[in-house]
Amino acid sequence: MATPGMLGSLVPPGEDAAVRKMADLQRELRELGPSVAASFASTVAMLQEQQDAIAAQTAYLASLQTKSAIAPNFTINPIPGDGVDRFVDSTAVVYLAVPTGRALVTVGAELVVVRPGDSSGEIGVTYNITEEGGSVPWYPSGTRRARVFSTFGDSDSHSVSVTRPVAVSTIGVSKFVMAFSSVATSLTTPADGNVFAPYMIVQVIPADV
Amino acid sequence: MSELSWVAVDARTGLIVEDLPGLVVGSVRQTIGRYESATASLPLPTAPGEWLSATRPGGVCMVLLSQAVDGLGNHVGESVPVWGGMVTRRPRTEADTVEMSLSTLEAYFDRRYVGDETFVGVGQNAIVSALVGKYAADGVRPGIPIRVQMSGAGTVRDRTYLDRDDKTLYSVLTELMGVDGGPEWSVGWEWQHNPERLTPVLYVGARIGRAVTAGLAPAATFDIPGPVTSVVVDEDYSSGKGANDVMAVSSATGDVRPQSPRQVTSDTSRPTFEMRFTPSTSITQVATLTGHALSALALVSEGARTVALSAAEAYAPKLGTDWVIGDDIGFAIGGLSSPEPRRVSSDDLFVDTFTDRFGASGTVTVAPPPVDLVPAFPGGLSGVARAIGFEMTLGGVAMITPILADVSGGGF
Repeated sequence: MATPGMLGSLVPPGEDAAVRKMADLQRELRELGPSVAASFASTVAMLQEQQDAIAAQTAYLASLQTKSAIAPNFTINPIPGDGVDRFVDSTAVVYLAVPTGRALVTVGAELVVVRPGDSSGEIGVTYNITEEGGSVPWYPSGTRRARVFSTFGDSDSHSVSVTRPVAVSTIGVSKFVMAFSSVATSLTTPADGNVFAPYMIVQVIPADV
Repeated sequence: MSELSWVAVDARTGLIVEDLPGLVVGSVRQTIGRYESATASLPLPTAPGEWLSATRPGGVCMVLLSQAVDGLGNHVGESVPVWGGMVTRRPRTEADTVEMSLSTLEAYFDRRYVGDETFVGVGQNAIVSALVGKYAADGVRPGIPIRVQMSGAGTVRDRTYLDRDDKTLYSVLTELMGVDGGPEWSVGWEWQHNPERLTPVLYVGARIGRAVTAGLAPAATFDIPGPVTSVVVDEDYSSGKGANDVMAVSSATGDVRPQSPRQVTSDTSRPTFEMRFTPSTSITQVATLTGHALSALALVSEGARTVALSAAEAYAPKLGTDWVIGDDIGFAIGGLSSPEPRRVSSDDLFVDTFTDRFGASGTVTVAPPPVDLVPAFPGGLSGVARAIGFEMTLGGVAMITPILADVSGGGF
């Protein structure tokens, strides 16, 4: 490299000054290449880290995708007071890819109205969520229920919802099914009710949540 | 007196390939710590039969020998190799001469790359020796038969070299030399016997060549009037040659660029001239950069000041015998003449008498004012300076021109 202050640099330029200068510049340029590459190494590493972080964030955000479905309003009539759950033929279905294997399922209704048939006993409307396509569709396993009760004969209305984590064993598109059921106990006269705007929300959640 | 002659030697072994008495080289140069180039021409009608192998590019070095002769023309002692250069190019045409480009062997250092090497607490001369031994000398890979002559291990340094940095041996040695107190180096030649060979030798040390002993005259002096026939004193404060505010910078690592603190001379007689330079890429230690800046400031604060004294080689102090590159050389340029006093004459052109005011007659002499022998140097210029290089002009009367530099800062 053409270094000023070297003994050789004190020599007055001769006929070969231009050639020597060119050789020095070529050498300097050649050495600058690796040097520049090295000097950018930390920058490249930082950019790579940022890219990895962005990719992770993208995956995280993708994992937060949500799908929802609304089922038609329906009437439950009658609701015998025998304490038996009876499923209602009104369901909502959501298909959603669950890449992380976990989902959060929220099932509810804007309004559930129950009208008891007599002045004693209790009635409720429950709903179930199931997942199709996985061998272990539930975590914990079993049907989840939310129940809204009406007691002692008065009409009652509530908005209801329940949220449960779901472990999906088969990574891919899962089918989530919502179904309502009704139950009443200690009633002589059957009750009846209405479910307005039943809905289901399925949200994919990252594994560390 | 001396005779100059050329021989071609094998670049790998140093064995003599051919004597080339007809080789024509206009001039050769040698400088501490850098390579020099020359051109040569070999007339084919008088060339030896093996001229093709004796001029093989990359495979042959041309070595200039200086042979002392007595008054009867008899050789005295062994010839001294004073310069050598490798044939790097050999264009051939329809003409009856073959032209060649020559480069001193420092140029070979620029053709070899240094791999991964780490030196921690190793003397700088030892570092140079190790690198030259591994990356230039004949060894595992073919090289040149170079020997390293050093004066002790030298100042302890830490250096790390990486293969991926693409630094040549020349580049690495140049960087080492550029640091404050760094090792000077130069390639010379020497005879070796049984078998007869001419091989390169790398001289390395904190200082190569001999310093003048206090109170004694230097081993060689060039003076004019005297054997010196021409002189050029060059004082250069142009860009790259002179500065009083110096900073050494390295290549950046990320957004951080190592750089030395500014090194400033105490002399404020000039306006500020700044110089920033990169002694080498990939330097990460500020202390190393500061060493480079200090070294540079010492040489550029007063600008580049050199004296080139040309003398007939036959009559000048003998290169390789009386002095070598790196020596302190005396010089004396001009001075005041002392003309003979001349007599004042009367109007009578035939007598040197006059009549004074008292009527007495007599003669008188007057001493004319002294005159400068070399007008460009009023009162003359003399001193001692380092021979950082030399040029030898070989056409016609061989001339030797030591390049003397004021490296002490004392000025001329």
